[in-house]
Amino acid sequence: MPLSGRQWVDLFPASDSTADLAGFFRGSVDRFVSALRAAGATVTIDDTLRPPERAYLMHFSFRIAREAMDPAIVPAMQGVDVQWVHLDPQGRPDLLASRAAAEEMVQGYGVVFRPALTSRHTEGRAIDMTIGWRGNLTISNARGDRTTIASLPRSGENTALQRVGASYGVRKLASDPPHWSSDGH
Amino acid sequence: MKHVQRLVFLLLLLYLPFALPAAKKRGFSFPQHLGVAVRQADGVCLNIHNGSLSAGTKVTLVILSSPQSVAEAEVLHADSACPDVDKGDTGLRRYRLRVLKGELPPSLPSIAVSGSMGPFQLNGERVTADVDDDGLPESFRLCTSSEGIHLTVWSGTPLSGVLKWHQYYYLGYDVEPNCTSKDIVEKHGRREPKEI
Repeated sequence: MPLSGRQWVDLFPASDSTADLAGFFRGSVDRFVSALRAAGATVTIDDTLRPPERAYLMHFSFRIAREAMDPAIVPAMQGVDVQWVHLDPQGRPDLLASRAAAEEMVQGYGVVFRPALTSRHTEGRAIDMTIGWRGNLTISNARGDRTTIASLPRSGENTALQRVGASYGVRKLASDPPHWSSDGH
Repeated sequence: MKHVQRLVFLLLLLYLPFALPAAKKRGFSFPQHLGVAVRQADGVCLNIHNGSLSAGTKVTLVILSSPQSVAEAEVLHADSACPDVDKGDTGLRRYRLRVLKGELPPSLPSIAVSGSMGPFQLNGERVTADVDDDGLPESFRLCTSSEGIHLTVWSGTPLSGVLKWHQYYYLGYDVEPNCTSKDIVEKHGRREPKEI
């Protein structure tokens, strides 16, 4: 079983493709993004699916390195063949080496707050995207009704645009500007 | 009559020290003076709503770990290679910084105050400074939302004082949120302070 360490950081990368979203939500996002682009808006997608395996590696490397979690009690995850416990030359658990390897991962991921284990992103039901346009935006909602948005800001934080997104089943999370999901969480 | 004039003059002299600070930085703009600095593998970058910072401009960095602390830096040059802290915030300009005093923890955003402000003092766990020179010290705060952080500056105590400045920082990974509704105030659909 491969030991924990920096080499894990590049595995299980986050996706920026809507094709990796969960089935029903993928359709909702694709229709909404198509409507935005047809209306002349620019849409830049950052993250769609964040693989659960990546969240697992980020979460437990952080807890071992920064929160003194015993690496021996980390639950296993199917599909992630990582050995959190490093051994010394005598074959005994080496806590310092285990923590150092976890710290390499934390720094490789660039995390400073404890990563969540599950989220709408790990379920494929969230997308981070930056939306912008010039002038007024005339866009069709999911029922085909056209709406002209003249209000500010010209971004995903526009509440009129958020109503259009909701008609497609793509709902805005108010606290995080780029984040949309299936239920607003 | 001369006595009255003298008295008025003396009263004005006494009042002057209190009146001057508020006038000194009239028109002070929090967005133009405050930004977000972060140390990444290739150096320290600043995002700020100010496109006219020149090389050598002094910047005080408030590090929002517990306890809070302060570092000093200077602007090296504008640098579009620095990452955006919030891609939707199109008014942000990016600069490369050089840290002169103190040390920034990697990947932890700090609040950057440009120009000669201060003094910055540590009161318990918190740094305070009267950055707009209105006689009331400002406090600095950080909280997490679902996948980003909200950096705020308050006149007085965080959450109970007046929100003066706010900046979102996109983390790009999911975290447990701990922000309150007071950290995130909606204004025209954009989370911004009620008043600046």
